Amino acid sequence: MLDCLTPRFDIERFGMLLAPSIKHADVLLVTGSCNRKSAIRLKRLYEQAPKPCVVVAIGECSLSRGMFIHSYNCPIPLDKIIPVDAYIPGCPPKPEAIISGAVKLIQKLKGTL
Amino acid sequence: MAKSIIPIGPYHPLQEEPEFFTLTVDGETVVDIDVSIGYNHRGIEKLSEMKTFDQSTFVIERICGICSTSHPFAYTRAVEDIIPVEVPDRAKYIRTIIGEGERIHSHLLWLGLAGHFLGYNTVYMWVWKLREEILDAMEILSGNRNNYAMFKPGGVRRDINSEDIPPALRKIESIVPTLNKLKKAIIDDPVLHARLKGIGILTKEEALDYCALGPTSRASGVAKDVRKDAPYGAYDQVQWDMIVTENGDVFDKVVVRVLEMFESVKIMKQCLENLPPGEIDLNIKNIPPGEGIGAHEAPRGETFHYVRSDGTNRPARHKVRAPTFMNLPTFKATVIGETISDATIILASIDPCYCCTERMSVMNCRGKKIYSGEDLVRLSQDKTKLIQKKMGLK
Amino acid sequence: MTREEIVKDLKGRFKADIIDFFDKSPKRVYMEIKPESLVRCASYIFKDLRARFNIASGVDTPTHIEILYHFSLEYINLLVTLRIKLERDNPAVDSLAPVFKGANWIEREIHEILGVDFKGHPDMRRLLLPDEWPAGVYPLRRDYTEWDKNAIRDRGV
Repeated sequence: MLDCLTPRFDIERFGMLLAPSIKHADVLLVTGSCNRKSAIRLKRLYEQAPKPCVVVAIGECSLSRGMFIHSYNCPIPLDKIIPVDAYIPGCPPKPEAIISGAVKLIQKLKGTL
Repeated sequence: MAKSIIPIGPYHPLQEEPEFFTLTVDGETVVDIDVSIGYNHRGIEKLSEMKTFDQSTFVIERICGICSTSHPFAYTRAVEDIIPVEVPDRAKYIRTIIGEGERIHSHLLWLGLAGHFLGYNTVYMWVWKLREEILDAMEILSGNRNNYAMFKPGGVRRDINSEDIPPALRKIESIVPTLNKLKKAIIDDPVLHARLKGIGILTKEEALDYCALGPTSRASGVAKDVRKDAPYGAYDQVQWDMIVTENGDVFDKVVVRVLEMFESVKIMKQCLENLPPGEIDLNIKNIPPGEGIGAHEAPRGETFHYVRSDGTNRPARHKVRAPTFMNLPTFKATVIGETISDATIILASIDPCYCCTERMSVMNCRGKKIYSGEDLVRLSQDKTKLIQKKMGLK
Repeated sequence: MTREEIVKDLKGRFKADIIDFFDKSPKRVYMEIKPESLVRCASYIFKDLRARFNIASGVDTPTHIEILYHFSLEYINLLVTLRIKLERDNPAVDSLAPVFKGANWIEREIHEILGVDFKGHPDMRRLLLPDEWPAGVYPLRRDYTEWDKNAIRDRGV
């Protein structure tokens, strides 16, 4: 996912930048399955983000916990913790897939999809 | 005495993975540190017991995205140690090639992040652009940029075609001139010397007491590397050197990683040019009851897997130990006594990979100022600017 | 010292403590010892033989709980594993954390995942599991069952 910020895939040309704090963020990208410890913090983070805040779930592990579905430490999938607006499947998703998902999201928000 | 406590994390925009540090500071100096992990614990050891030996390889690969080869490498060696059996030569060479390719891209990733923590954002962007060349080479050889899915107990799953070798070799050799420029820029830069030398020193005795691994301990003078001590794969059939330095500070850790990349390029070239013909898989059908231990030198240190089999097709116990598990407690020795503006780079210098380990907030009692995590990174970047100004470079 | 000398030395020095000695291959040696002699054997291997402590693995078997301590002797390419067997009802053993700091975290992990008590450990807190995890439930034991009523275990497809 950090590859998207680098010169080859440059997600900045679509208008996305890495924000230094959750209070300046419009989009929350989540990767990986949420376990018991991180679910509480993630909820708190989402509440701190100024609304409207869009949530994007990246990778199989955040879609439905992927292969960690039977793990004792990952009880619920991401969309039961916070509302998710876009899903990007893949394990791991290629940077091109992430950019394609981001562009679809922007079009959806603008109403042109 | 009035002390303050700084939390860093767990979800910080500039950390790759979640972890929670609590630094207790007195004025500007850190007097205590507590590390709290568990945000990435996914119960992989228990999951491994529910899958068969072959399926387990895929779970193990996804422990970590950056060092995704080191875990299957150690796991397959552990399963082969139960029997015990040696894989065919061609499989050994292919495994070595993939392992070293991962080392180069992991060290480049770390270098970019270290540059970012210090305030050299250009280094971050340039090094990650360079990293794309290696990822392209890995895609030519294995089909994917991460999670190569090449390993299986008994050999490798897919072969390297001989027509793929010249373009991959070209890509790998193309990074060497830029790496040379990077090496000269880093080793001779006076600002980096002032910033990183003498910071976060881990002495040789402490490295041995905490059982630190990988570049973290090789920078302190401990000359241990699984590839030289217990040779496996093709490491004893190619010519390469182990990089060891003496001082144990952050600068030495940077130097060890940069020089290791040159050695990895050498190993990959020799392996790709001398790939022996033959079988790539032993087709192991049954794993007899017993125990096996496998180790691999991952970019961060030695990955250790212990597998116990009871004769069925599932592991009875699979213990995973990532190198960061042994390196994280060394923070107690390196960060205490340093200033908070150096805390971020010291914490980053062991190249922590929290996904592998699992299967920092300042409470100021004297004043009212509360430091947050990004304040600490900004403090680190400000210190670099100050040093540059003092030296007349800005 | 060569490999044969070290093996002979270990067998002779800890004759009273060794229950079983398995010389599996040139690079692997498995030594089963009594739990009371753990600190003595481990200190000797770590300090005098200058081994590196790799990790400790806790295993739950149908009859007992085992802990294996893996030590690496790089200069002769040998891995020595100490094995201790504890009973399942109240497993307890002396902690190795005062001997070398590398054992600190792994004992915390084995304590919360398998329920083994390490006597004399300076800092027995939770390492990986969250604080809300119920006490007395050990995930890696064979009789672990799902205790969370709100867990969703199907993909809903």
